[in-house]
Amino acid sequence: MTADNPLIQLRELRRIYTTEQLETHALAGIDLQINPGEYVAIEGPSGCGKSTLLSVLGLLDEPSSGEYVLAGVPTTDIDGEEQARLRNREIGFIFQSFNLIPEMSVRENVELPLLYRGGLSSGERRERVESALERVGMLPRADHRPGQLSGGQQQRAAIARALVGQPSLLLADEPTGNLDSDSGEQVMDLLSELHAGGATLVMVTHNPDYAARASRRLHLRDGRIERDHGGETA
Amino acid sequence: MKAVGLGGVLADLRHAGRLYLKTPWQSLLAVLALATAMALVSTMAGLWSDLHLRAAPGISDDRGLLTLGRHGEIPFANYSAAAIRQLAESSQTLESMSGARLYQQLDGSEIDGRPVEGTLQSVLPGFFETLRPMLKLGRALNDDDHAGEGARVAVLSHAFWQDFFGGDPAVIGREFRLDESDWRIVGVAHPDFRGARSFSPLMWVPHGASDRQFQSEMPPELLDNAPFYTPVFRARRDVGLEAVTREFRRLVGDLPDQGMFGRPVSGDELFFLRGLVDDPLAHEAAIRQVTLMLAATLLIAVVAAFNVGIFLLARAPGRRRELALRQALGAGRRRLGLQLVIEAAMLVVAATAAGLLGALWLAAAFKELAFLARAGFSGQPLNLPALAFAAGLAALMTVLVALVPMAMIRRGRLGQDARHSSARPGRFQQAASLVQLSLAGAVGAVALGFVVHLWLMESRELGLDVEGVTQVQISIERRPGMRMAMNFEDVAPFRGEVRASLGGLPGVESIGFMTPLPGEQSFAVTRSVVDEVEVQARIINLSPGALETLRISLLHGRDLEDDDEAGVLVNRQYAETVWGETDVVGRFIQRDEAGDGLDRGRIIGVVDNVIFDHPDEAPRPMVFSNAQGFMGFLASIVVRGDVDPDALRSRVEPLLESYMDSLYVAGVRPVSEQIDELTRMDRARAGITALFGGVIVLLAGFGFFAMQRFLVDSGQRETAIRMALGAGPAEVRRLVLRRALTSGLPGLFIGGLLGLILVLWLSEDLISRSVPALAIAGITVLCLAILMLIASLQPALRAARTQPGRWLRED
Repeated sequence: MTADNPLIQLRELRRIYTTEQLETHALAGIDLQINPGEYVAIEGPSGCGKSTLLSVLGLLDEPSSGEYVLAGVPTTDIDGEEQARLRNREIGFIFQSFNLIPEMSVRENVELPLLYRGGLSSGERRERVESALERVGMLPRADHRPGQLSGGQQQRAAIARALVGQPSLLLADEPTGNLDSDSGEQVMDLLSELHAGGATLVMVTHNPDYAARASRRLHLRDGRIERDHGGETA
Repeated sequence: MKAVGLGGVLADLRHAGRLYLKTPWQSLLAVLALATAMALVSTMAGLWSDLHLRAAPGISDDRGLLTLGRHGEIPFANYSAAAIRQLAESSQTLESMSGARLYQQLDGSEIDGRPVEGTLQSVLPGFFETLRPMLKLGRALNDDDHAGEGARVAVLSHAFWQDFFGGDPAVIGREFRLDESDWRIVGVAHPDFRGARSFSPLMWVPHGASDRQFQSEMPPELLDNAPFYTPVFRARRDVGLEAVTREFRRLVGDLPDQGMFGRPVSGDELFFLRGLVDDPLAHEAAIRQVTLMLAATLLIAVVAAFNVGIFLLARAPGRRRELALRQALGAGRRRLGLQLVIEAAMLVVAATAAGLLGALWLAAAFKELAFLARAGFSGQPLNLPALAFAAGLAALMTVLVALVPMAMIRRGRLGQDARHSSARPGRFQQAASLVQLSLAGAVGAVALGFVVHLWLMESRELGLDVEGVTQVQISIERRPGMRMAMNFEDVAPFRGEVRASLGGLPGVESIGFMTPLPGEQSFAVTRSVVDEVEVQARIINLSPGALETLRISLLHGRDLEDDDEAGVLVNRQYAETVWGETDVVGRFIQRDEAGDGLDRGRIIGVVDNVIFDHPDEAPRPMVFSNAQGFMGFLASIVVRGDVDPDALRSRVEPLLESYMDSLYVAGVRPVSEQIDELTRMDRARAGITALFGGVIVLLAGFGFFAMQRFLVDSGQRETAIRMALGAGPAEVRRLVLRRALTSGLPGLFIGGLLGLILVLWLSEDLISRSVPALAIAGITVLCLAILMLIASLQPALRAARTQPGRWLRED
């Protein structure tokens, strides 16, 4: 995909949360295009809509209006099953709080996206899981439970889980938010390596140093893109 | 903990009210579940205490008092004065034994010139010493009253004393004239005392004096052997029921022949007296069933309370956050516990009020149920013990409903972030699921067992076809001085005229006379030795044409004919019991001892077995004889064909009057209604068990639903993670259903096993051995599995609607 064929295309995207007495415009008309291979950092103050934007990009939340095309697929017209298929094949998530399932081993957590994909033999799955774990340096801990790992190790396991399905897009929501500085550095180095390897990365962060590692920096305020460094607003 | 003031309690109550109103449907569902359990338990507790704890009224000491019941026969009378005397003298286990003749109708009699209606009870010596009733005035009957031919003295019932003698305290010693004789009042009974059964007579009199007045034409030897008396017993303090029963059966077996009345039949069952009931067998069976149902409903109430606790917790995961916040603000665990108890109490109070109303309604419905009516249920469900039980249950429910969140406080989980909550059942959930599914399996299987038993019974071949047969019941008004006609010749012309008259009605295909009909109670039973084989047989009086009308199959020989005074028919069971074969035409059940050459005991035909009693009972030996003399008039007229009942009545009534003006048509109805009576108690029992089983299974379904809701709500974060990784709604639904069914498997297995064991156990008694226990357990398990699937559907759909963005957003 190129600039003519972007991985992500948002047009006039809005997300409005409505309660009985209040309407909150979390996203107030976002136009954005992200090309394959970009490393995008989203910054902004609390409540500016960073996480909402990431949720919409990851098909975890639905926009109230506007258009979102992912890998050429208009996502607003597809049902839940197709959205799940897209999430599984095109998107890998890295969360601040890791979101590993505590009852499962690291290996089982990493294998989960492949189980939902189907069509892979257990041997193929094992090969891919071990490859992903090796890539993040977690293969020796494959049979540990998340509760037996440090925060940095858990996040590396979560990154392995995001990578294992070979998605076209990695979404990271404050990936170092729950880590000490050393572990945070290691994780950021890992993400840089992944980007260098051709991955498309979109990361929400409060840390300007980590944002500086991205090739493109979006600054959000009040649900709108205030600044876009290193890219062009669609 | 600091004392919590009224203000704090009121604040908790206000908060609880708001909480419940915030989710009205869930609150209503919770109240409904608790109210249902409360209604069932209160009703059963009321029934149980009514049937079990009700003391024998008006009796000063009922310890050791015994009564008896009998399958298939009228459960009173059948023992003669001579037999009771001999049993009392021979027994080592009884402290005393006596008897009372329960029905001496006084309708049409006069006392001091004023008409009276009711019954008089003739009592044997020792009756009052055995029962030990409380008296209002005077004394009981004593040995002097029974000496010789018996004194004409009476103990009045309290009601009769009030109604007839105006409650005159100076009534003792007063004389009154009953019909043609003078009697003297020696005592007035306590208001509660009703004698040996549940109905109260007008008075109790010595049997000798009563016989002189009302049975004066019967020879004394015959009277002494006439099986008119219902026994009452008092066991020795140191002797158990089993020992008394064993001895009683042996002694009854040793009783001599009672002349024309044959030998006393065996097969009675003894029970300790609990209240005064007409049918101790039905009473005992009802107590057993009610006890079982009380235990089951109590268990389900406990489980329902747990379920509600889980359900309330599940409806608002934010609840845990609120409690954590309260903890953070300084509320100790006890204070939070108190808040949860107050919240639970509010719910339980509402449920208790609704449940008690439900219990009143249920009891009103149950009052009509045959097996409870027969067992002597008073129809007053919410007696003091039941209300105390309900209050105790309400307190227990309050604790249980509050227990689940309290347990979380104890484990210190409130402060934890909800994101670590698991979507898998913990040990508590697994145990609760196991208990309620096991219970539902057991009770559901029992309920199904009762229903299948009923279905099997109702589809059983009875050996006759009553479809299209109408019964004209004949009865007699009892009047003083009335003498029964005992002449065989009288009934033959009467029958001829009935046949001629009814035969002319359009639609009549055949006519016969028979008593009793299947389903009607009878005490015409004989025990005799035939060809050295002892056989106890039921005597059925019938006329020519009855077999054809009721389509009873004749296996050998011929039907009776109008001029057959001699000769009998027996059924297959009789023939096989005595001779081991069915073709026994020409043999004798009784030799021609009269020497008049009429061969009254010669078998002229053998018919197939006919079920006259309960369809579950084995065929009994029967003797069919031509109804003679007065009994011939009292036989029901059975008419096959499409006939107008009013036409039947209008033709029979004038004929009856022309023979005996005290005879009248008591009713005209299809015989099938009478047949329905055979299984009326079973229908009621199956109905109530099915109702309870159904409710218990539904409550278990609700519990399972609540559990799955709890797990789904607790595991929304995990679900969100899975969805983020590519699990679609269908995958999430499958996951929830799979986990639900897996978690329910142990409960299903144990429930099925318990159901199997219970059905097998009950098949020895309440339900038949022909009920396929294994199939019933299998069907129950299948139904429960379907119920689990249905109960898991909503949680599964709810899980599939999880918005991952909401749950995975970093706070």
